[in-house]
Amino acid sequence: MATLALHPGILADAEIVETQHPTNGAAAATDDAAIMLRLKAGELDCFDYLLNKYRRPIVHFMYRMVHNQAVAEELAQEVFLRVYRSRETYRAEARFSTWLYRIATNLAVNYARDTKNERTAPKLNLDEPDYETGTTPDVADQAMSAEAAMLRRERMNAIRQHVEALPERQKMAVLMHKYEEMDYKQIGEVLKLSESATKSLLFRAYQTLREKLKDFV
Amino acid sequence: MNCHNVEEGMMDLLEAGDLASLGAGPMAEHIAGCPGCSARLMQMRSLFAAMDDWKAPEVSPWFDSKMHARLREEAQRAPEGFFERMRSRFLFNSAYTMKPLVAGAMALVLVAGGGTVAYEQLHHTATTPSVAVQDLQRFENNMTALQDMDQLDQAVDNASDDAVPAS
Repeated sequence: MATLALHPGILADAEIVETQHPTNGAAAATDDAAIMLRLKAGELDCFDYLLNKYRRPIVHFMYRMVHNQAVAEELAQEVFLRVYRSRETYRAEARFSTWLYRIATNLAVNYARDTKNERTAPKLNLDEPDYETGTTPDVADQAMSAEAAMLRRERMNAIRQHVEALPERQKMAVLMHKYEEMDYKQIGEVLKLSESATKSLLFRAYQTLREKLKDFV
Repeated sequence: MNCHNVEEGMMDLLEAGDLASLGAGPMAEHIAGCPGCSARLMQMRSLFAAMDDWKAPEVSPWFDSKMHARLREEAQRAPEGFFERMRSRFLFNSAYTMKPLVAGAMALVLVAGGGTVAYEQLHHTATTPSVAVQDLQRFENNMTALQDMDQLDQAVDNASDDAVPAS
């Protein structure tokens, strides 16, 4: 394999691409599949294009699945590595993003299964950097009172915990729908469900969250 | 239009945004007149707004350099073995026809293998008698042989009686 070098032009284009959401639009889907086919044909700089486009959404998705930024980035890298390894056998039978998210969900589920007994309840110390992200806890803007900031933090923790407590498929559907802004068809393709089954799955998940979080919303 | 219909269409209602965008249809009319459905819709909207608070941290600035380091390692790595390649293709392949084909092939192997084993067992049982049956057969054969020998002895005796003259 030839050495991969970043072409500055790719990055410049990618900055524009990153402001748009990568998973919407039939045109975007066709472009991604076409670019993947070019990667298959040997144009290795196409990999950088796909990496720049999907880096952020995949890392964010993984973060919300595993609740640890370092692990999320490692798993996201594994996703792109799988894409790179499978480039020669790639077939454009479905959207590229569908395939990408399917790899991501598989890896996240495998990680959760492998570390099931290692996970402990997350702790938050206000005066120490967060052990998961390395950043200090968000105390919001100056205008918010201490009480409001504390309530906001409690709400965020409650949302995180209750989403984490959802059954695996419901959790993935909620994360893809709410935070990755994917439509029912795309989510259904990733989870191998029909559109109506996806809608039903999402409705049950949001119903559960509404019940659990009624004191916070 | 009833509460059940509204519940079924709740996801579409949430996608639609505010009630005004639904227009003057039966769903909008029902929600406007039903406190329960109206409250449920408002709670769902509040939930969605609250969920926006859950922000993910930004990607670290060294993500790309780590990614490219892994790609270089990948390039230098020995190629995957046959089973590892098959496993990766099964789990992470982009070809969606692969899994049904593999599942079908495995089912065929199971049926063929099971059928062969069942046939062999049946055939073996039919042609190989049990030990008890073998013993009885042997006993019957021995009785037949003894009877044949008795008949021969009698024949010999009769022959010798005929040969000796009466004195």
